[in-house]
Amino acid sequence: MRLGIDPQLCAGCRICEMECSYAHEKRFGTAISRIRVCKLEEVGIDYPVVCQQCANAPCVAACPEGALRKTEIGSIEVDFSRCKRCGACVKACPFGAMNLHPVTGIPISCDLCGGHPICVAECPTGAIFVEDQVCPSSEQLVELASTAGNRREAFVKKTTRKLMDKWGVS
Amino acid sequence: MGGKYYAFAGKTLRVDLSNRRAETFPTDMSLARQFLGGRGLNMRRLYDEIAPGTDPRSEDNKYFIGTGMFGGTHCVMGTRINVSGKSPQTGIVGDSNAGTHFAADLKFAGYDQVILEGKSEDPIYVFIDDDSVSFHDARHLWGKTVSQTTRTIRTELGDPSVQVLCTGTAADYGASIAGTFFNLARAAARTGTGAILASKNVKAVAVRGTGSIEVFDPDLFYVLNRRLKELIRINAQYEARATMGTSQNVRWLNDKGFLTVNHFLNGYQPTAYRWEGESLRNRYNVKSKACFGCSLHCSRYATVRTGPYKMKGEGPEYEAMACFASRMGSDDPEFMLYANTLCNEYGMDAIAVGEVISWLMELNQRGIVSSSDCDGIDLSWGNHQAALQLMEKMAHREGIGDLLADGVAKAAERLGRGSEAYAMHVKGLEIINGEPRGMVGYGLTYAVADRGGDHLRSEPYFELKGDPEIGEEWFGIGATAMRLDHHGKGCLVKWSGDWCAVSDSLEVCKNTLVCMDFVPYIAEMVNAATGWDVSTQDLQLCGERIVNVERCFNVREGLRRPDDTLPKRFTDEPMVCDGRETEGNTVHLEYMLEQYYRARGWDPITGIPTADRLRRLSLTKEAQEMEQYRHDEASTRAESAYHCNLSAREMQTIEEELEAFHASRYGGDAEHVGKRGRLPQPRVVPFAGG
Repeated sequence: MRLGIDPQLCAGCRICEMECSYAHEKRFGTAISRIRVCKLEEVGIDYPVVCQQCANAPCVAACPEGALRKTEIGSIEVDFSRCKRCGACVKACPFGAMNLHPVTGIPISCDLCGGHPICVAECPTGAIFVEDQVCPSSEQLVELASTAGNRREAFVKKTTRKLMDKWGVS
Repeated sequence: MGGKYYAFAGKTLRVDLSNRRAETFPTDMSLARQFLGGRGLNMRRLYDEIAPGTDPRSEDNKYFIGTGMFGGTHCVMGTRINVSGKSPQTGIVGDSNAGTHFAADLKFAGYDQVILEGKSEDPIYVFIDDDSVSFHDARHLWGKTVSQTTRTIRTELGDPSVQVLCTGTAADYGASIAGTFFNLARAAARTGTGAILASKNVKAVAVRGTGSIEVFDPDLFYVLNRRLKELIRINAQYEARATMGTSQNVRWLNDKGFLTVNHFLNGYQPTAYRWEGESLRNRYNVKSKACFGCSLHCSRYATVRTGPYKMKGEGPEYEAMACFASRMGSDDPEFMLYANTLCNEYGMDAIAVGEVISWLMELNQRGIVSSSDCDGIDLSWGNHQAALQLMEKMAHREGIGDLLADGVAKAAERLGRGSEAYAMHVKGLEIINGEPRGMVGYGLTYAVADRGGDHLRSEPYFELKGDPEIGEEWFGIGATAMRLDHHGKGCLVKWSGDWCAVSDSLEVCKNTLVCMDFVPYIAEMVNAATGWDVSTQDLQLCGERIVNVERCFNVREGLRRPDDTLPKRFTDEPMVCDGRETEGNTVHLEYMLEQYYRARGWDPITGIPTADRLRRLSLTKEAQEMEQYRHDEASTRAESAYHCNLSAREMQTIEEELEAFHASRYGGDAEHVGKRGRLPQPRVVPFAGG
């Protein structure tokens, strides 16, 4: 199970971020959301970036404590007792889809809401959907950049190039 | 700090630009209960902190940024923001609202309101990064456009997701019609808020917030919000609004004959189909865009791929569209899209720019000005190059642009030659592209709006419903739902004015809350978010309180009843529109105005709020001051006081309508303090225009 994104439909309202933070913490905040909308304002692209459940997940491999593992539905689970909050997983994620919680310091990434993702249910345009497809290969992974924000942007630029060409904005 | 904050972020930030210091203090919740937040709290501070007669461009003026309680939550009516101060353009209430992502980030950073005061010595931009506030050199950004500024700041701060509020080129060159811009094309453009920033040597404010917002009962809030989301989705207006936004208006207004054509000289443009919303949707829009948290996503991203007007950008909304099309006698959609983007880049108010251009074109037609007065620019109707050149000159205050860059009222005053009669403004602010002869309630709205000629202070959208039965049901007066009928409009505009103030103070969207009839649902959501126990009526009372504080501010600046007026064209010249429905109509302003003052409890002779009504709204300080102003007025200007021209019969009808209104809305109590009135459940009624 994996979340699919259609950037043609995404209007950039960030309701997914708000619903995600509500569903997990009963609070509202983008920094505590597991899905983050990357906005390329100058070309009009909005793209919700979320864990892609990579086959050989770099975040799992990068964790020096072995605190991350994949669940049966493919999401990444964090073992709180082992996690040393070092941020190696954040650096390893090629999409910038993994972040440290601003208060606890524990990595947060999409847990697919246990199989019923709230962002899919609440997206007003249907831009986020459940996709039963195997994970992207390592060739699709973009170069690691220095910060999560830059990695998100690079990823979105690459994925939406065709769309930008179609609009004539690239 | 004490206490826990629900829905509110909890802190207010005061930035002293002169000394480059910032201090935070807890948001005053007793004030928030009275003024709700956003525009309400901004207006409270405007009245308290800006002394009468303050020069808007001096360091004594302040710049307030206000967010609302629903900002940064999943409330589907969006997250908006108000920026306020004393307006450099009009010298009265300066306030503008925009739907942005900046507001949410400001709340996540922990602030409900930001106050910028004093004046920086050198150009700077302010970066609010959660708890830390830093000041950065902006000399290299001075005179830059909105997108250049936004891009540079994001690069310098090393994070592409930082939210930026900034001014464009025009503000830095001293134009008064300069606005505040967010997310490249989201403008709080009216009343020259950008000019206040520039006068303080501030180019931009950037914010990054990693905190979060808590609401009182998150699960109840979720359920109420979910219900609202479904109601929006099944609303008859949903499809048109979601795909076209306000651009849907063009076709309908033109069909009925009250589109703004050639500077209000006509109401019908045969070729308007070229640039109407449907045409943009089919040819130029590539996707929908949304404000933060809004499920209606009514904005659009458009591209023009080839030709002289190649562009890409968000928008435009109806007002900017009409300004760069029919109002200046053009019908070219590509030019319209291009001009709107350029206007945003320069950071100017599109309505002011559109008015100035079309006003010059009318003066040219009448032989009052010619191209030799305007640096050789050919001012014939629909001349695209003229519009682009004028815009460029205004943004840089070059040549004729220097005369025009402070808006049409000041330009007409400086130009003279009788051009004042053709300047379409109220209180110095340009009138929007809503022909009041085609919707008379809007006419009253422009006349009484405390920031000037604008519909957003009390949008009486209700009058476009076109079904007297609904008017009867909601307000006890069938005529309130009929756009060409003057009856009951004073009551309607009072009611809408209160709710627009609530909408601006909760920082939600008027298009949903007021225009799509969601007023009956809002109190429950406020209670779930904050833990308060307020009724719909209590909220309306807050709205009325805000409107009154703004009015008091204007009274203190010297405004009186004669300032609540419309240009003569709307009251005296019958509408011309190719024989369509609106043909021959004029606005009977005096009748509506008289009823409005009575509904508001303001003195109909001076237009000053009565002490009695102010005290009922718990505005005791204002009540004392206004009493004094009324007293002074009575002793000095008694002989020139307003004389009512209405017949005894008309006065009687006004009273009867007020009675019907109060009976239907407030159970007969004109003051309606503490009453828990019931509103009809909204029916799924199609917008009259379909």
